[in-house]
Amino acid sequence: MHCGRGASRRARRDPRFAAVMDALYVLIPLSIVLVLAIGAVLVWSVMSGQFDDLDAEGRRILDEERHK
Amino acid sequence: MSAAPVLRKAKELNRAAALVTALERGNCDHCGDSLAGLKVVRRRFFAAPRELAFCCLGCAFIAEQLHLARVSSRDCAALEASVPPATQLVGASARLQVRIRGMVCAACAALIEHRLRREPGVIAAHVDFAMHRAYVSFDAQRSTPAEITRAIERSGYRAGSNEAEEKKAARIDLLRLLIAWLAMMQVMMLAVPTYFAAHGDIATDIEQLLRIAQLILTVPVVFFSGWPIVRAAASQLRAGQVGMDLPIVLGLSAAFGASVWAVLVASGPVYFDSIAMFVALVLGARWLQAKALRRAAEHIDVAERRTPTMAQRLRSFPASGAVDEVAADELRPGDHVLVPPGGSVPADGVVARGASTISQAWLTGEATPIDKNVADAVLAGSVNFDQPLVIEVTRAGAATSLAALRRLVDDAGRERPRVIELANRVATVFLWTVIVLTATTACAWLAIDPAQALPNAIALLVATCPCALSLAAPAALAATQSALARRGVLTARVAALQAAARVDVVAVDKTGTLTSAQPAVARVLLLRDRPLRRIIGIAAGLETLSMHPYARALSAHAAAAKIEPLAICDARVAGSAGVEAMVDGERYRLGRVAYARALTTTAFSDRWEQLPDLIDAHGLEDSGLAVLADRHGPLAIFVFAELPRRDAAAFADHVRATGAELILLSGDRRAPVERIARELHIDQGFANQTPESKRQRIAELQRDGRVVAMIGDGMNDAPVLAQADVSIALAEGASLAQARADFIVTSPRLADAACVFDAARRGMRIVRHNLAWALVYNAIAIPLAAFGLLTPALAAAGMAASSLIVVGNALRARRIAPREA
Repeated sequence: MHCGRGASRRARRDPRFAAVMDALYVLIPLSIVLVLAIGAVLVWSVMSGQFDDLDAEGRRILDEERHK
Repeated sequence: MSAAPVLRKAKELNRAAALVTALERGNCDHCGDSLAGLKVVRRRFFAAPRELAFCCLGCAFIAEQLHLARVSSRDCAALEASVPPATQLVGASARLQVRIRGMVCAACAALIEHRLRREPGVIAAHVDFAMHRAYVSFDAQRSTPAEITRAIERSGYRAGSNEAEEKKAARIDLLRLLIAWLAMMQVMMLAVPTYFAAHGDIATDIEQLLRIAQLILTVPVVFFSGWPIVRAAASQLRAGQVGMDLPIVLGLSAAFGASVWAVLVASGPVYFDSIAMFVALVLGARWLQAKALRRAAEHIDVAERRTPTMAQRLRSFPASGAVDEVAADELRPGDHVLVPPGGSVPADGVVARGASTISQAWLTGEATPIDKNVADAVLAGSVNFDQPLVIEVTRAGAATSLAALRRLVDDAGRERPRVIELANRVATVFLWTVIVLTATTACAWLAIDPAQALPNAIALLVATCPCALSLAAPAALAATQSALARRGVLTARVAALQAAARVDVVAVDKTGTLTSAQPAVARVLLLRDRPLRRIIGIAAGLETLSMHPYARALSAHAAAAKIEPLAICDARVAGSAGVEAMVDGERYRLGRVAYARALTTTAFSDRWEQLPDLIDAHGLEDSGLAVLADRHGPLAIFVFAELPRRDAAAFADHVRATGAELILLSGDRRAPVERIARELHIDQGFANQTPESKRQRIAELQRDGRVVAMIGDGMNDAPVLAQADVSIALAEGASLAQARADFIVTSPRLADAACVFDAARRGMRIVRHNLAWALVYNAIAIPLAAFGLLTPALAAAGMAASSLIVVGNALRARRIAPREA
């Protein structure tokens, strides 16, 4: 989004500017969908227990013999 | 309480009832499996019609719990609550210790406490936020554990531990945090363009689109991630209390409401970024806080996990080696149990057969295993390393040192330190002040500039941080306790930490405290021209027969000098008078003067005449002596004395380094007391003290405004310990159960007792830092917010940061100087 104060006035006269702005109508909802998808992956990964014991991996190297 | 577990429990209960008839078919009374070919466990429960048979102890245990629940409760809903982790009957009053889930901050703990104290039949209630536990003592006639757990649930929290549910709750908590952070980052991205764009730079419909996108992303932040905060505030309100969640929720809902309205009418400012950031930061701070408190608490909790639940009881020791698997609670004094290598000792007892090394790390914090031979005492919870041991039980179940220790630790938090009470009172007043200030600010700004009224009111609500105030003390004290626990010092009364930080006189007992209770060989006086090593070899050889403390001291002395006891024959032990035996064809006696002298032939009796003078000349009249003699007269005098513990000097230096005066109060005679005082450079040694005169001396010092700590063995010194402002008991193993003091040193090192003062000082200093920081932060943030100099987003960052700083600072108290080797 190139809406900076100095550049914007010139940019708005550019015919390509309108096309960029129009793309936002698709891109913003798309980013929301993407975030929701990431959120869903997050829900799945947490609820499947992947973050239950964050220390275990660090400790595992120490008692490798017992839990092969 | 969700319905599913209740239904499951009810179903199980019915099954247990229906299976009463199963015995005829030879099935387990709990799980219904065939009992054919199994070692059947038979139980007769309290008030049950007949004996039941089970396939394993697990089934028997569950059936018993269900049975007890059925006996004691009328409905299924109470059933779930009536299986508390630990109830204990003490006279007419019962004690309940129950885990509480759903607490988000220290105010929740105060709230539950408040609710419990209003319950009929409750005598005292204490809720420990760090450990997520409630300790309730109640009148067993007027209330039941089920009633109490229900009262906890009525105040909006969950009682009892349920592993599956707890795990799920932990996952959801983490999810709340992650979702809040994910949404926060996205909302920020969508909000930033509107900050930097000049008015009219962004087309209105694009701006509206950005706002709608922010709204969509903020909804889960408020209604999923922020929900625990809303719920806690609601239950606090319902209970008629103002908690620290209330201003947060007020701020959030005002900001969210105004923003949603602005989106709907497509005009006016939105605060979605502030809301998302605030929730994310608050949750982040609380998550770290919970992690930190858990870490601080884990050392205090350590004894909990070491109890063996099962024991191998020898059916008829020593006649046969047949073993019954029984529950550790069922052991009785006099039972013999087998402890395999790698197993833990199920009860306090004495080694009846075998020799091994065991670790008592749970008690002493000392990892080095200790040798245990026949007749040595072992404590429940110790881990056996090398060889199988047969142990004769002396104390089992609730009487073991381990159980006593757990009770001590459980009771530790009952009395709240004054500093915490004070902080909590201040926090409550503070909350009201904040709410009044917010209303005033909003009104004032409405008159000056209505557009600024809402953001400023929100900033004020959000910026104030009572959390820092009420967390400051408990977090630091929990961390201090944890630090001490790692050194083998148990805090039996947390409130004593405050006094321990101000101690300026340390009084110590001598025998068993500064000195080891076992005598040691202090000197050997040679009376005739014989090599010292041979004399000690002979003496050690003779004493192999005796169990007298002096004999042990001599053997230890010889072993330390690497002298082998010489072989003896034709030995005789004359009670406590002494020992007689042949070594290399020569007859010797070792013992009291008169006994040893009787061996000497009359021709040499003049050699004995000078002995009393010699003893006088060396100033030994008061010391313990043993004389070695042969037919030609006395050979050597062994002088026994209590030796200072190896680290007594280090202890004395340590105490002096803290700036406290060290005095010695002993019931012993003047000479040994003065000798010890001189050796350890102790300023004042008082000899011939009775417990009463010790107590008076401490009272005198207290009248002069001194804060006195007393260190003793915890049993003989009870009145003295009670008089002192801070009492520290050295309790080694078996004496633990009787020890009564504010701090109990379970490690064999005396120097560890001195770290109480260091740790307490450090802990209280951190408490003061925290309180000062919280006050300064709020004193700066409130006016800034009120005068409109703080945006809601900045306020959110400030509040979360101040909470984190307080918790982080508190954790510094966990650090403690490492033991000197």
